[in-house]
Amino acid sequence: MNIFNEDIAALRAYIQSKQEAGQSVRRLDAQKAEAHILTQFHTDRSPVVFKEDTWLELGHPEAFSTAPVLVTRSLDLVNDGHITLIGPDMKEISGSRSFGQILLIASEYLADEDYRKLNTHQYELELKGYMIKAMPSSLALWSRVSRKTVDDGFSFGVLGNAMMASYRRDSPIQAMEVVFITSSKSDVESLKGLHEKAARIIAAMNKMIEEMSFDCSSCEYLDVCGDVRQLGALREKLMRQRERA
Amino acid sequence: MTHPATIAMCGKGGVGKTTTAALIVKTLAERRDRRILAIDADPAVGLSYALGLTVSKTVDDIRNRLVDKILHDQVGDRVDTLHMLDYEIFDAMVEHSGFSLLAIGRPEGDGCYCEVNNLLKDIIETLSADFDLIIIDGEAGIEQINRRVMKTVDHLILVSDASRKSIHVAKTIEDVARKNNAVDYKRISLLLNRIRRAPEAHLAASRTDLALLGWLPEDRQVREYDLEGKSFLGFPQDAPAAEGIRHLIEPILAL
Repeated sequence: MNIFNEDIAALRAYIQSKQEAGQSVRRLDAQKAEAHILTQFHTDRSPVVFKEDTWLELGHPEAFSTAPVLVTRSLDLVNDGHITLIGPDMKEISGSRSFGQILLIASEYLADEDYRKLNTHQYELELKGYMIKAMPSSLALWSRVSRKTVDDGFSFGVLGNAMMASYRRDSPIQAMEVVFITSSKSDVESLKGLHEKAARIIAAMNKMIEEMSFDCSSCEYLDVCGDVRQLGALREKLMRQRERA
Repeated sequence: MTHPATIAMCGKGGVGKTTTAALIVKTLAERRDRRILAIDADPAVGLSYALGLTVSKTVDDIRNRLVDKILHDQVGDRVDTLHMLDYEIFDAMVEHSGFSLLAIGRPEGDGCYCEVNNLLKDIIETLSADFDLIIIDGEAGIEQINRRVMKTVDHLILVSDASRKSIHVAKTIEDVARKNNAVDYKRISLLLNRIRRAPEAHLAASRTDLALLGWLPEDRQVREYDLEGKSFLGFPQDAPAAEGIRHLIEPILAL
C-alpha cells in the first residue's frame, strides 16, 4: 500500500515548517525507553479516567482530534523508532487540548485490507491511567491521562514506545514512527486534509469489505477509489474472492 | 472485571421515587467513598432534572443514530461499532463531583433492534464495572430496565407511599418481576415514602409481605424543592428527608 507516500512527504514538510517557525519540536525516541517503564504502565483492561482525576484531556469531542495511520511499502519513508512531539509534553500542560496522533508504518508484508486493523489497533492500547475512547472510522481519538499516571512518569515518550511495542507484537511491521501534536488547535486542524483522506479511505474499505457491494455507479466513495489505485485493486480482489466463494 | 452493586428503584408514578433516588445519589456522592453511577431510566429524564443536571445526549439518541446508520448502510465492522458506541456513551455521561449520570431517554421509531439494544446494554455494563454502585431510577415497572439498561440488578427497591393503591402497585411490580422473570435480581424490598408518623409506616408495611427496607418522613422542603424545580444536590442536610435518607444509606449499602 503506497496510498500515503505523498502525505508522508507532506507531513515531513509540516514538521519542518514548525521547526522553522521556532515551535517546540522534540524527538522522544524509542531507543531511549527503558523496558521497565512500559511494564510499569501495563494493564489488562482499558481504564476509565474520571474528569476529577484527569490531568490532561486530549481530543475531547468538542475539540478537534485526528489519528491517521499512514502505511507504506517504502521502508525508507519511515524513520524507525522515531517519536516526534510538536508542542508540550504531558507534565508541561493540563486541561483540555486538541490532539493529533499520526502513525507511520512501513512494511512489505502487509496486505491492503490490513489497513483497517492497523487503524483500529491504536485505540486498543491498555495502559494504566490512560483512557482511550475512539471512533475509528472517523479517526476521532479522545483520551485522558490521570494525575497519578503523569506523576508516575507517563509521557508521550512512554505512549509512543508502548504503541510501537504493541503494533510490532501484532503485525509484521518493519519500521514505525509516531508523531504527536499538542501545540494548538490550529496546528492539529491544519492536518484536516490528511484526516479526511484517511477517513474516506477507511469508509470506502468498510463499504467494500462489510457490504461486499461493488456497484460503483451508486457508490459515494467513487472519487476516492478513482484517485487511489490500490482501492480499485482491492475491489477487484474482493470481487474475485466473492466469485470463488 | 469487578462487579458493582446495582440498585434499581421502581414504584407507582407520583410516590416520590425519583426524588428519593436523587437524595440517595446526593448523600452517597457526598460521602465520596464509592464511585456512583446514577442511571436515569425514566423516559422523562426526571432524575437528571431532580439533580439539576443538563443531559445533552441520551443512550436512546445514540441508539437511534446507530439505527439510522444501519438503515443507510453507513456502519463499519463490529469492532468499529463497539468503539463508536463506547465513545458516544462515555460522552453522554454527565460527570459531577462524586458521581456520574447516564440518561437512557425515550426510544423513538418502530422496529425491533434487539442487537443494537444488546450492544448498548453490554457497553453500559462494561462502563458500570468502573463504578462501585449503580443506582437506576426506573419507570413504574422493571421490564424496561431489563430491555434497555441492564440484564441483571442486585437489589430492587420498590418505592411506595402509605396508600393501599401504591402498596398494591408495589406488590404487583414484584409479582410481575418474579413470575415473568422480567429482570434477574437477588433481593427485593419496600421503601415507604412521605410517612407522617411511624405508626403509619408500620400499618402500611403490615398490608404487604414485602420486606420493609425503611421509611422516609413527609418533608415540606421536598415539596418546595419540587415546586420550584431546585436541584436536590443543594437540599439541606438537616431537613427531615435528608436525615431519613442518611438512616437508610447503611441498610441500602448492606443489601
